[in-house]
Amino acid sequence: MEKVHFFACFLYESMLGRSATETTENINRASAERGASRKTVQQWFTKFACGDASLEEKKVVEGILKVDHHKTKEMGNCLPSLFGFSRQHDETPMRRSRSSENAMSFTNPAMMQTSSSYVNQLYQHNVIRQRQAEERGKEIDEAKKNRIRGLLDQIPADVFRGDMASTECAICMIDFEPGERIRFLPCMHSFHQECVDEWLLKSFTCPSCLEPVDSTILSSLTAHNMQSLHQITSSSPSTSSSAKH
Amino acid sequence: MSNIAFNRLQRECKEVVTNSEISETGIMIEILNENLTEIKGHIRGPPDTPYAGGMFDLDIKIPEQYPFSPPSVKFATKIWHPNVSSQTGVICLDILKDQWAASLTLRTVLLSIQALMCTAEPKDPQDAVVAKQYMDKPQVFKATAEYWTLKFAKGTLPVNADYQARVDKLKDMGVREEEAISVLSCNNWDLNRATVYIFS
Repeated sequence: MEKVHFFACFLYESMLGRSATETTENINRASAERGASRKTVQQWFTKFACGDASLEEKKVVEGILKVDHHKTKEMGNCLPSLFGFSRQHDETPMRRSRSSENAMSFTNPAMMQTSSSYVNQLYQHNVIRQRQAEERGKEIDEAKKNRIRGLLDQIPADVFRGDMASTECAICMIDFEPGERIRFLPCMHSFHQECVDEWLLKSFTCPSCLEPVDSTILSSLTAHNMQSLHQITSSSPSTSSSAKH
Repeated sequence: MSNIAFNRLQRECKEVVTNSEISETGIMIEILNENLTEIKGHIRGPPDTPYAGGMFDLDIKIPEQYPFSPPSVKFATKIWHPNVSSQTGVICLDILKDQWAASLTLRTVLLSIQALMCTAEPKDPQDAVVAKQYMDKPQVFKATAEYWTLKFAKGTLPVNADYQARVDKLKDMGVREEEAISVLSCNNWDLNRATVYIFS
């Protein structure tokens, strides 16, 4: 497979909003003879993402038009219809004026210019949309993590003592030992603090019952839990000392 | 693999191996390598299903972030089921994806898959062809699933002579048995359509 096929794939995949890693995997799956390195894909994606890749873009598109159509077909699912891709969009002028053209007509030089500018347009639109989505995603993700980090301090945690009801952490499946820090979730399930904190950053639900560790539940239950915790703490010296001696 | 994952897996394996209900539930695991990253699961086909009498093997791969990420589980034995790919064995099950919880174990995962074998979810299919047959031609689906159980999962039901004859016809034309069964099943056992599919 020639270089230009790879470029076409990179562009196609980036238009679909795939990541560089996914693209590398897809291409290497589809192409038996020579794979693409993730680094190369990453470089191209950065170029695409800069928005000012119109020159590169044009080269790529024109390059594809020159190469054998069937060769590109070999790419299988990685590149199902780079040629057909543009024809699926009803709102484009190209679709209206040339709806009867088939994919092979891209070899027509008159068609090339239309497709180049069209692909440019489509591509730029995609880049903008993709970048917005990425930023939104990142913001949401970061905000969520920060929110959870802040909330973790609100969830009661204590040092395990022998007289507590729960005995085993459902995450690491190891029995609690006296002196270990454990955290109590609003649903009253308890886990090792370090085990459950790692889980909560991923999913803010109880690992045992999937009850959301939601902020509203949290605020209503924290007071209650703190109180009961306080009761345990204040009554424990006598019970634990009597148990020991 | 992190320490927590390794310790937990050791306990999980022990749980499944020593648990007395294994003989009743029909699930089993087998450790393939020392560091417990690859495990083989076995599920006995539940009674009163087309899979009854069969023994199904599963490939289990433990990710680096286990138990914070789910294990990847797929069927190693070929199975005809709407939520399992008839080609690759990939399973569509929510707890193996977004509904995974850190307190789930290999044992509960295998039990869930066994439950899935009892109750398919054709509305959320992994294999669209199988799901379509399941909904449109339930009798054909049942017979096909039974045939697959017999052929691939060492099932004990008597062979469907009609299906066997069609598979044999394709085999006589030089088609591998596995491919013959797969293509016939996908074409509702229509020999003509299967032949056209293979030779065109």
